[in-house]
Amino acid sequence: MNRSERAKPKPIVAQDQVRLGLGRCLQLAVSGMSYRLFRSLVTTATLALASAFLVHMLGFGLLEQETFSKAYQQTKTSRKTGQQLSRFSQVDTDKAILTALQTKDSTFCTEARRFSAAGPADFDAALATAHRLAVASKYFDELPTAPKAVIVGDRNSEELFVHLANAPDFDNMAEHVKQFSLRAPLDDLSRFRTLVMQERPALMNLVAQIRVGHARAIEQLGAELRRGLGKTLDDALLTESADRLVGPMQQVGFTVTEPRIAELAQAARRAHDQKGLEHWLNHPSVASAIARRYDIEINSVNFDKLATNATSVKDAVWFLSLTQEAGATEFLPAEKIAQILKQYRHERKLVKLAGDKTPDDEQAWFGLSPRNQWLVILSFLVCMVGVANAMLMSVTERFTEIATMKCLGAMDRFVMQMFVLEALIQGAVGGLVGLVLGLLLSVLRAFVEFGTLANLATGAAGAVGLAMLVALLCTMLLAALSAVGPSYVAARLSPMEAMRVE
Amino acid sequence: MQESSPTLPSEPNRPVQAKERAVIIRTVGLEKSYGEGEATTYALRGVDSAIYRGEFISVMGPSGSGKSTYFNMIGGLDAATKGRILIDEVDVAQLSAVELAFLRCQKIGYIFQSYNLIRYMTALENVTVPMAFAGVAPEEARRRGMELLDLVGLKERWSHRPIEMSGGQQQRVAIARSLCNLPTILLADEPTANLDLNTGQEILDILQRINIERKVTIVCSTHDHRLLKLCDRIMWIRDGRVERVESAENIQVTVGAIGGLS
Repeated sequence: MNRSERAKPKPIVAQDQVRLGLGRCLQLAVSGMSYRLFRSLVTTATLALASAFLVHMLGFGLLEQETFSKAYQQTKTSRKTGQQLSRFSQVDTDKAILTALQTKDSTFCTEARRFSAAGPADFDAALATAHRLAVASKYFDELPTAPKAVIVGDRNSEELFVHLANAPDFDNMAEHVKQFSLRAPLDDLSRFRTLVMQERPALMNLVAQIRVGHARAIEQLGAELRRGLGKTLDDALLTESADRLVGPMQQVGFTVTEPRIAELAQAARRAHDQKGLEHWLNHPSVASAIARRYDIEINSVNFDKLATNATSVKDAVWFLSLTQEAGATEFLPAEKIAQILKQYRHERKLVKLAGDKTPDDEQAWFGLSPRNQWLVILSFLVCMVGVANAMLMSVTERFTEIATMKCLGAMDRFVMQMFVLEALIQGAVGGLVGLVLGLLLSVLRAFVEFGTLANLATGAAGAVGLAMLVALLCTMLLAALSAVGPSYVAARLSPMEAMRVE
Repeated sequence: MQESSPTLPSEPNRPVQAKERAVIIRTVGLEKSYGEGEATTYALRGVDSAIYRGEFISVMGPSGSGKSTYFNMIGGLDAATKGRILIDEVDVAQLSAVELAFLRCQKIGYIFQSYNLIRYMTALENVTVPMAFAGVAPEEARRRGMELLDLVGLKERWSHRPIEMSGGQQQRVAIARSLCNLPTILLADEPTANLDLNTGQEILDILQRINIERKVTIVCSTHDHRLLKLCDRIMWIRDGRVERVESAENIQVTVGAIGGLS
């Protein structure tokens, strides 16, 4: 026996043992998969489905959200345009002025300051009063039924405040508040008293001043336009360019800019054209011809019905001939008529889509409602079970291979790495396929649900791209997690145990 | 002359230098049992043995004698329930998982009855896998792999997969694989069992060549009687114990029976 060998055991230097490089791992994982194509196809398909589902839910949610929000914005803008246009020719009601003060509409306030000729301090005080009035109104609105019936009765909020301005009625109200043990309006009865008795009348004064100032401005504008351009406001809006109107308008106190006037003028022109067409719809011969052609009741012939049915330029040409027969002297070209009808239909669609809904402010997870969130999580769990099962089968049938690898010196870590990497690749491939599928699905669905309005959603492209990336990562994570369990167990086996399982 | 005590080593059948008589694998009181209490089955009931460096030793015995169990243990593939296994005087049970992997990678080569090649890899890739675990650079690994395939006579088939090769060729690839990290021990578990006579003979020739040229210790577990003349010593195992260990030159082989002495 060799003495020296005995005394000094041959050192097994553990540091010499190597970490297998990622490239080599990858190579081994890929070659394993191409052999196992069928089984890995099924796993990959499952993962693709999960990914497609997730992408679809996220993507469609985002597209839907974007479409709604854009539609809402556009209808709001057109509503606002209409309102603004009318202000050049019509005075606001007191109620409207009050509401505008309460919401502190900036354009309005700037104009109101000019119209009322009140000092800035007074105006700001009035704004504060208006706000407090709103709070007080809300208080009375939210009273419980019994006290409300006694205190408010069937008066609206204006009448109520006028009523309470009388001292005895005010004291009555104070009594009732105490009786019902309610909290005081504005949490301070004396404050409320001041509001009703003194501040409100002052405010209403200001409102009246604004109204008068506004009326004067309208008059002045009319006079100025007549003098300078020789036209009324309506004509000027239709025919003059914006730069010639901006001067007079700003002079009398309106807050406008040239581009804004251009927009308003355009809207005015559209309204005018539409009115022109509507005028002819009332003509009996035109109406009966339309009713006959489109098979509708003659009494229900209106602009809306015309827009619905006359969809092509040919229809516009026919309508034009009708008006000519009925005695029209000046007419728009047929293309213009078709365009007006088309615009009307587009706006109608927008209004129908946006409705009275205000867009939800909370983003809530990529535009997913809570119910959809649950759906997504559950579907992923189900997929995870399926994929884990496939991974388990894959690991089990490769026990001999694992045993061989370990006989050749593979460490436990490597075996696990191999399987998890394989799962990641499957997740990536499946995820990518699912991405494309899901994207197609969501876009298709958006078009089916919203028609051409879906084009509004192009602004969401960035968010959708991000959602797709998230979905891909989730799928890969899902695949890797499913593989960790089985592969960890398999990696820990000793070679003999692994081979014995056969 | 038969050995009466299993612990006394017998003379190997070639003139050897003193150094070669070093013990490379030693077992002390090796026991392996499965199950507990009343249902315990003993695969090995206390085996003391010593295998010398550089020799070619066969382990023989009937099925169920514990031969395979013993074989797996000395290769570090299975753990003993009692007793010690010392490879190069290092107790295998004391090794960590990393050290065990190192052992299997670089010190011991394995050849199995069912070849155990990886089905989706080519022959060359199969041979280079252990070298990857040993941290050999890919080009160097490939070069050495081709060399080894040439050694076993399969140079033209380097790109073939196991499924495209006969049993004998697969076994030869397995042998090439087992040699790639220049191990000092080669464990062959019934290498010729699944092969026909001629192919088996080729395999045995290769094994003998490796033993003589490269001085690799070969431990063979086998039923094949041709090994009786090829190897240096034979260990007979029966009922979980070493029955006897004898040197090959003392055995005469006649086909049909394995005789003791003439």
